[in-house]
Amino acid sequence: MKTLVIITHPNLDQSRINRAWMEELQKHEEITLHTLYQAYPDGKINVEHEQSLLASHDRIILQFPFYWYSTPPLLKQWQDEVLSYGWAYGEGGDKLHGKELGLAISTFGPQDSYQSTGYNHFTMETLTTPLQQTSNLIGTQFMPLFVLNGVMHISDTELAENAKGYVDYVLQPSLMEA
Amino acid sequence: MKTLVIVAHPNLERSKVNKTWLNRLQQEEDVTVHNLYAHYPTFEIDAEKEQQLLLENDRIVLQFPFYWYSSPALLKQWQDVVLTYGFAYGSKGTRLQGKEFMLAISSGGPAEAYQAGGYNHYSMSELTRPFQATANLCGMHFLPSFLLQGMMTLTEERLQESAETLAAYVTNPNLRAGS
Repeated sequence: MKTLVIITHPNLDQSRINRAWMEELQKHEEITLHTLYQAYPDGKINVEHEQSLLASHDRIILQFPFYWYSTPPLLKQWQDEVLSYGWAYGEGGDKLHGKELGLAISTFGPQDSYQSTGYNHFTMETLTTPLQQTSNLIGTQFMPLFVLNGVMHISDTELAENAKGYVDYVLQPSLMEA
Repeated sequence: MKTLVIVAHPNLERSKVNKTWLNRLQQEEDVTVHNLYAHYPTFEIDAEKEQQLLLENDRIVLQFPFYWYSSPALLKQWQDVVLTYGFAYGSKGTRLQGKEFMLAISSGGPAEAYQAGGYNHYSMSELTRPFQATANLCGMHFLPSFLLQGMMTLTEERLQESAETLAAYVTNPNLRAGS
């Protein structure tokens, strides 16, 4: 299984969680890492290149910080431009069928804020419904979420452990086998 | 009541619904129409100017075509850059509290697709939770969304009708639940 992790963080160098996650993934040669803001600093996405990257992998993980309960803007732009009609969906649009799609998300809000009685009111599953439905339409199998909430309160030791858990998530056996 | 309508469509000239809506809303006196892609073609948003616009209005309407069950990228950028800590949220971020917040969305897929059992599986209410949660955190009242769905069966008549209904809806002061 060939795995691609697309990391979308506008300030990856100054980020804590996303950079720690990336550095842990970098230790595993078999994982293809693709950092979107670094690849496209001017926002001009090379659609053909992106589609070719997707086509050559079996599992795609979108890793990003939760900005206003959604993705950073460049990842939204990536979806809009790369997942095109006739390629990802619609007539002839079956190029991603059967692949796996996972989300790895870091959030400021703590876990208990993401429920009906918490200040964010909704769960992570509920808030990521747009991406789940995107997965449905493009024919990928949606993986359970990998989430780290409350990023301000995680110690360095806990983060190191969490990053190893992230690698386990990224490299887990195919959903079909599980 | 002063209403701000932020229109976010990357190709407004080629759009049908969003262009018709924008043109109709521009005719309304207490409505300020703000074409985001026209103002910021390079995505470099003037946060201060945008915040000023928000402060000057009582009701904020985000108008956009549904792209992958969400907004076009520039509108996401707008949220990230404009709704800052200390302005829109956080203990001192109370500048938007009490304002009203609303979505006006055009979707290619028909209404029937947006429900359990339909090909989009989820309702518009479910898919727009990120916007609802955003309004909640900023202390704004989330109003029912205005929707026009199903581009395949859209007639010119239905389109014009929707523009009229949208104009009336957007300027109706009594949209809050229980009002």
